[in-house]
Amino acid sequence: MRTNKLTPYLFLLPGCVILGAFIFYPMLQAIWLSFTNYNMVSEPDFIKFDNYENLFQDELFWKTLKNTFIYLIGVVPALVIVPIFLAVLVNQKLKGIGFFRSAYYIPVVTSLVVAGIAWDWVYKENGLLNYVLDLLGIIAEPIPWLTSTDTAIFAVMVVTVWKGLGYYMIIYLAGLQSIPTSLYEAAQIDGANWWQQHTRITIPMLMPFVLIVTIMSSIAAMKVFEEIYIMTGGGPLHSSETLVFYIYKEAFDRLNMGYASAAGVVLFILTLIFSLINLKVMGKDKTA
Amino acid sequence: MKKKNLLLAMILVIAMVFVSACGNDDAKKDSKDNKDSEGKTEQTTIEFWTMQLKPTFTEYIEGVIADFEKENPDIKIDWLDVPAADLDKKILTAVSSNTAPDVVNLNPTFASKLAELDALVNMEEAVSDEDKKKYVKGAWEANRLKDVTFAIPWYLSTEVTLNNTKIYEEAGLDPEKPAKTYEEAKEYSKVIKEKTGKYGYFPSLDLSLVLQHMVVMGAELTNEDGTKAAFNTPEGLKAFEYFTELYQEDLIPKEALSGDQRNTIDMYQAGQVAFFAGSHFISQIKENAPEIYENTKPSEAITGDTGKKTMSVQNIVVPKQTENEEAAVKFALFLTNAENQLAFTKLTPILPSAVEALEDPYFTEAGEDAEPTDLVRITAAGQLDEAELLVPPMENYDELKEAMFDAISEAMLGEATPQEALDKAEKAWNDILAK
Amino acid sequence: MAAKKGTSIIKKILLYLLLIAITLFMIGPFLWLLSTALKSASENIFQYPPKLLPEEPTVSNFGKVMDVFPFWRYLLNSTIVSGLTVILNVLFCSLAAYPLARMNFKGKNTVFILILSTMMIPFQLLMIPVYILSLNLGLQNTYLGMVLPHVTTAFGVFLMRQAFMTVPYELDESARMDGANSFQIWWRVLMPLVKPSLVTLTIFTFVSAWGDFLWPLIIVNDQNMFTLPLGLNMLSGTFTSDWRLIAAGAIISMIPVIVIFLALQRFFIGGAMKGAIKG
Repeated sequence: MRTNKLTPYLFLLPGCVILGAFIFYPMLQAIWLSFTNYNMVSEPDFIKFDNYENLFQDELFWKTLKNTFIYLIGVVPALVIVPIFLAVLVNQKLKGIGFFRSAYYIPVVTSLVVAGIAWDWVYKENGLLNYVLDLLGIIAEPIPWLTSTDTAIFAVMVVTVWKGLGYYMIIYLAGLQSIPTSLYEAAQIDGANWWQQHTRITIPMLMPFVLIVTIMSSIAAMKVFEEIYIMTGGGPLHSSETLVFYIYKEAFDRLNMGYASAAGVVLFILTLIFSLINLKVMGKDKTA
Repeated sequence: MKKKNLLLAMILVIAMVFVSACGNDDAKKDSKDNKDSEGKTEQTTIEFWTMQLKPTFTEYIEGVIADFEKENPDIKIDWLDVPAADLDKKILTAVSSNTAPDVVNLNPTFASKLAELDALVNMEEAVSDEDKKKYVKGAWEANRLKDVTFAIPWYLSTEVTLNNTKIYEEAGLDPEKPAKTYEEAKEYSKVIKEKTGKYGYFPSLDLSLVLQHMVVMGAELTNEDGTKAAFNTPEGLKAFEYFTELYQEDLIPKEALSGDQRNTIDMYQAGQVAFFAGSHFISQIKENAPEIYENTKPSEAITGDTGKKTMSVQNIVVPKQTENEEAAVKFALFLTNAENQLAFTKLTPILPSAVEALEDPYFTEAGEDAEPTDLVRITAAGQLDEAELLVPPMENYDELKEAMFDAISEAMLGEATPQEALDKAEKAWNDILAK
Repeated sequence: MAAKKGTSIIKKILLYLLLIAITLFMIGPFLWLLSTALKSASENIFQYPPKLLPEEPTVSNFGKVMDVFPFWRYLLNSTIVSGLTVILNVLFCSLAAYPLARMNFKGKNTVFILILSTMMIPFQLLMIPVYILSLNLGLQNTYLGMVLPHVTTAFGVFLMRQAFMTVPYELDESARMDGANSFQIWWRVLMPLVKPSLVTLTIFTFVSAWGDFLWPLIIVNDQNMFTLPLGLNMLSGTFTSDWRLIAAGAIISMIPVIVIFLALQRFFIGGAMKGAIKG
């Protein structure tokens, strides 16, 4: 091999300089701030683990943590699996397929502030969803989807999934391009049907992309904020409040930046552990 | 050789980035130098931030700035309009990096948070007694936290009920006699629900509104020195019971619990709610729901046994970080003087905080062709004498507010009785106030 | 995707029906947006039950949006910022991803995990340190200030790493035999083969740079440097919010994104590069 020892680092250099300066260094500062009492106006004041102690004693923190996990469990499987079908669907050579691909991608680029109003129409007491369910005879009384402690968080999850499907579909679509057609041809000769072709070729060959979608959608789910902020404001009774919403509130409504940073560090550690497990488990499948 | 190419490419890329970064750095320095050289002619630049006034008021604000600069040739005003929803983040980043603007338009809640941290100039000291007298007394005192007056009042508003006369008529109610008290609001809601299936009243419960409702119904929030909760009384209980009953008997929309005013206004615009407190939204209704606007009749704010009415104040603050406090205060006073306020209030249904401006017939007489917007203004001005700031600035206000909202939500959702919820709120408040 | 020969017409119709059904779910809110943008001033846009078809459709709202703020200036700013971000991001991410996917070196896993970890803290907590750093670098009120913090993303590195991993190793072996160095292998052999992923990264980076709101707002104090989203925000004022204009503005800002998407999506053609990979 003629590869110089330095070569890999040279490739990494520009990206790492940027990430180091603009994210990693600020991240270290945020970690430092989590040990201080910092209100963004006066100088931070070192208070050791006080923020963490207070955090762990706050019932609301545990509640938001629980909600974050509910969110994670509810959203990630849908966002990992459904887009595979969508990608396979729009990867066919059909007339006008470009239109459908774009249509599926549109939620990604639709501003949530505006889409939120459209979703309100769906979820209202006399909205579309209740109307349809009533028509089908499934419910007798309209359900206040966004203002009931039982349903609010799930109603918001649907919006997250709606917004994410197209995004992950594109990642899979890119992945599908790297599967050699010859594999399918060979499988057809062996008499494999449509289902077998996909379970034996598409899914295994797509694994590197399944890994990235799993990790990306998990991180996104753990950091979910905008949908909640717009649709429910965390309510009712904090039933749809997630950790990042809690962090946001502490930082900018209450000016407890140090405390918010401590909650951010907890989020960081949990996300990191979760991602590492993902990498370990799913990375094994792929012997590249 | 080839490796050299690679190295070269890398270095080039990085160099590119940093050269351009530094290039800008120089440019920035240049502009600073310019400022410095201007400084020799004793020119001060005041950075002035407003909260989402562009483009409607661009001309107005630019006019005020031009007038001011003419009167004070040594002061230059740099105006930046910032989106309301993110002004807090922008100002916090600016303050934390010691680059705060000199004059800012903030809402009282956020301003009081900054005042709590001693980040704002005390206007009690910075403004002469003579100038103070020019403002409506209640408005000037509204920005007080622990003996510090942290802002100059800009414009005011009082709460005006908007009534959809069409729904009143459908329900057989007289639109000339809109609901004036909480009790009437409940009765009307029952009639409207029965006759039309629509909602009557839609009380907003977001922001400080729960606290306001309680005060109007006669509850005291805290004891005199603000160290203990004082609302666990028959009056406080009445407030909790009132909203719980409305909610559980389906007399107000379920969305009331979302604590988001967007729902209120949307449902009113959809013609599904007969009345709500929304003077602030009248222009919006005109834009989005013209036919509802046509049928809208403003009336005095709904009140309780106390007869109290609420006033809210927008204000102008000067952060302590400013290097030009004198010039900044000067501009703030100019912006809020009677003449400029009057011109401002002619553009939108708000009330001036300057005594002189309020005496203008614009706020007292409705013309023949008065539109709902005009009526809102006149109704609002008419009750200004009785209106007061019901919820004064308090420390840890955000937590207090949330504790109360949580408690009343529990009662409304039936997860606790009103009394249990009230006890819980009292305990939470005492904990927070003890901090 | 293996095209099945002789797909019957019925199958095709069913396929299209499925495609259309999903489309409705996906673009429902967008249709509401479009219909609101087309409604004229006399129409109540919040009426119940909601009406999807405007009574008197008008395109005047789109014209009005352009008058509210210096539209062309902000469009130019947005284009410069997004363009620069995309070019640098795609370049830096694919450079960094190459060794992570296909070389063995000390600290490889650590570097990878560290890069990934940069996604795990919410931006709101980093905002102030990033702002102070940018101030010190003199980046306030500059295009570069809006661009630099976004020119490498962990997602981009990760995506390109996964893409490079799918390319068979024999390819660089044979290129190496021909005397190519690492840089040449990266540029001439690998990059052309991962075009679909490059396209994906381009689209994603463009979308996020184009829509970025909070960071430009924080770093820019000069209204001439505002980007489109900051301008669109002016459509809802303190005392007004005309949803027709807000909707029209939202659609205008989506157009460039959709055009770019339509132009680039044709790179997702199954089998286009298969011949090369077979090798």
